[in-house]
Amino acid sequence: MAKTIYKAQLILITLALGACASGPRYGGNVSYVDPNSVDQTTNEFSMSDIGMVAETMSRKMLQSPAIGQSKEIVRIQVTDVKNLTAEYINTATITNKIKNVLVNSGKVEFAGSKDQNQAAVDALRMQNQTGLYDSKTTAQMGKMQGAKYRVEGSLTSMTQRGSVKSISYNFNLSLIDIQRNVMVWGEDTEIRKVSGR
Amino acid sequence: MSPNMNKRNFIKQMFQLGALGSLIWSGVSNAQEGKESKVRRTGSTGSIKFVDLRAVVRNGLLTVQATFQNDSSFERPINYRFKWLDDSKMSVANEERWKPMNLFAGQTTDLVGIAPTPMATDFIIELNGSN
Repeated sequence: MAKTIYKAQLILITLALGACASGPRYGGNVSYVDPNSVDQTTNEFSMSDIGMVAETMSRKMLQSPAIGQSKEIVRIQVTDVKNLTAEYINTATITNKIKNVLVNSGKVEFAGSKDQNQAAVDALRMQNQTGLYDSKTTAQMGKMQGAKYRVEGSLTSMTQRGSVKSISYNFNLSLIDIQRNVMVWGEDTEIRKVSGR
Repeated sequence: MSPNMNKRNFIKQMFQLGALGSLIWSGVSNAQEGKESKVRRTGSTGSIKFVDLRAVVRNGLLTVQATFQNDSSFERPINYRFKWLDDSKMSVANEERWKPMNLFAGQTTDLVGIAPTPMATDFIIELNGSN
């Protein structure tokens, strides 16, 4: 009797572990879908939402007077978008998408961020101080260019639970003049999702 | 003036009015066809009427405002996106994400698109009826 119960427990544990497994699926109904399509798989912040907010907001920023009316290419520094929601959201993806839209417009260029600076300094030192490179081809020290503006973004959310669950996400983006430390442009966009409980 | 003369004048005026009317109608119809050439529809979008279209270059970027109306008596979910083209009608950027939207019965809405680059000089609005 005890042996049977033990076996049943073993089978149940195996089944439970199997259900939790999150590895690749083999032989299932797998198909490719358009990555630009609207993803309604869950009510959480999805890649669709990331793409939509990054696309909309970065284009509005390109049209701001600070960038749109500038006669020169505007140099910008971007800090990672802050995730102030309760969900895990890879904000680096949002930041990268915004950067790509901005830089591909031809109106903006990016100054290295704090993280990238060390790599840039290392590369300069290697070219100039190791004696390994032909001096005619080395990048010169002291020629880095500072950014005129800094971009800051944040994502917040608010959840309401009733007969349905409603989540509102608000994405805020602002452009700050670094020298004067004043905000010269700001915009926000909202996404609201409702799902049955 | 003889009654025959009056009759002839009346007929003449009616012809003129008719010609004017058909001219106006063909103008309206051409304008509608012209607008409609800017929309690429997929799925069920028959009840989504294209009402108005405006395009301006604002701060160096082509900005489009397209007004659509849900002509049906039901709420209609639709997806839309803009396709941006250069002078030679080539796409100037990656395809945009589809954006979802719900239109209540009779609701009119403005879809606003901003070109991703000053190279974009033309556009197409893609409209998809998801139901």
